[in-house]
Amino acid sequence: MEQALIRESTGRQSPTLVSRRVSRDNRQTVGDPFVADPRMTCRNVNVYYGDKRAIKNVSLDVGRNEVIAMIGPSGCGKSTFIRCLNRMNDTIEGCRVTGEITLDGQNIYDSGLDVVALRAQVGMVFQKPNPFPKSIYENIAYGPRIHGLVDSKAALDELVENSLKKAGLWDEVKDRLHEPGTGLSGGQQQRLCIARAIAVSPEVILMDEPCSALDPMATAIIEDLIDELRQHYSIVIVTHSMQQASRVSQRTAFFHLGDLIEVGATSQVFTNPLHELTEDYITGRFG
Amino acid sequence: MLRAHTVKSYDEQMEKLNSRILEMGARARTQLARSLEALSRRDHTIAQEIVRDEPGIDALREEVDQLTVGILAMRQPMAIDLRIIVTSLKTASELERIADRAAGIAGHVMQLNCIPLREPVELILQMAAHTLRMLDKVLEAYRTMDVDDAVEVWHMDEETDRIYQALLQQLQHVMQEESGTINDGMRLLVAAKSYERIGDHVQNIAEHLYYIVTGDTYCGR
Ligand SMILES: Nc1ncnc2c1ncn2[C@@H]1O[C@H](COP(=O)(O)OP(=O)(O)O)[C@@H](O)[C@H]1O
Ligand SMILES: [Mg+2]
Repeated sequence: MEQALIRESTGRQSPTLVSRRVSRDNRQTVGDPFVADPRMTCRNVNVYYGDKRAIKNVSLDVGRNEVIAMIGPSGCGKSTFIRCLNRMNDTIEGCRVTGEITLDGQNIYDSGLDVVALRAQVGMVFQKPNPFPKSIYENIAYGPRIHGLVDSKAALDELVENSLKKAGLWDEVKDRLHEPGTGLSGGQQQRLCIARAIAVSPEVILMDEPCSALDPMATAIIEDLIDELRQHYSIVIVTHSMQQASRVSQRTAFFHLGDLIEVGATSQVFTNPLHELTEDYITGRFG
Repeated sequence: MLRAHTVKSYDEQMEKLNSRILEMGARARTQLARSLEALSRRDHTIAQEIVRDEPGIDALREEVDQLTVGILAMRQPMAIDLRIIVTSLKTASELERIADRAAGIAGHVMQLNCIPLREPVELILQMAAHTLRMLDKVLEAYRTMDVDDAVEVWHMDEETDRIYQALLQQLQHVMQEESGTINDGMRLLVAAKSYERIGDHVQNIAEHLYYIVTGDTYCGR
């Protein structure tokens, strides 16, 4: 029946079938990109690398205690978009962001804003685990120390322990806190990076393909962790695994060539997407 | 319109599943047509053919189950693929039951005495012909994924129910008037009930088809 849908020549076309999904030519966002009580809001965001526009007029909210997944073909702008959320794009030569992005109602691109503090509030975990070449303990303690979050060794010890516990790593490392972080397995290193982000009391954690370097077991542990972290934080995760997006997120945003094509409840997007481009992508029909 | 999957063997699996459903549809249709023939001609060879062909339909149903589980495990289907696969299981089961019912009807019909109940038999023939038209239409709609036709079939079942109600009244009347008709009357009643159920199964297939195409549930509007 698959084939029946493809073959336009045979059989009569159903007008209903054709009109049900938004056609591939439509570049406007379908679905509802807004939430009732947002943690972050993005309005008409554009990102340029020199002359090239990599994100095109994207508006999207990040809710509280939600995991929102960013999916789409490679190069569609997922990483570029999430880097806007903590101004990581500022560090890229020739990159320019327009539009408005707020965190708890405050414009994060205001000139007076403390970017270092912002990056603590909106933490980030990358594709390849990148612990500092220091001990496990120091990896966690570094941030709170420079942000002045603790005033005693005891308080710092406690913060390190709690962060490692929240990241589900404590039991595995409590007896070797002073060994190098780089000596851990890939999955453990990624949880160490999550613990490092947690230690500076973030509100939002950005994760850019956090499991793509991990085996299925380590991936499952991280996914389980993400689900727990949702109680305390908003999580924005970029993933190229449709299964991962459907497993961990409550909302899903689909990007295509810099446009935000569709946003919706994850259960809806993966069972009944509204846009033909979303359907193509999530069902494995790549152009 | 749907494009082809990037992975060709995925399309091949989906196509195979589709062909098995359509094959089941064709065979269930043959059984239903035979039940109608048995009713109008009361020919024993027809009843034998029905019995002979039942296992083949059951085997196809099992094949559909296996294909479905295989695709689910291998492909982790999403969206329309997922909707097709999940409803294939249900559609195969509806078709199997249609064939079962048709066989049951033929069994009862062959045991009828010689037809003093001309008017009720007329109505049953009407029901049978109507459900056959419904099945033809839903199978064609399935082939072309035509959701408008699916909706039409869905509403055709209202006519099945209407004839069924008329038939019940008539049978009740005849059986009250002439006590000698009770045996045949009961058999016709069972046959009529089966056609009424076949109408429901076809209506369910129309709903499955509607769900595949739209992702929504159709409930009359
Ligand atoms: N630092 C950069 N300089 C210039 N172009 C870039 C840079 N980073 C990304 N791009 C371009 O922007 C587009 C979006 O890239 P990216 O955000 O990395 O996509 P994704 O994460 O979805 O794979 C691509 O066309 C990419 O080539
Ligand atoms: Mg990327």
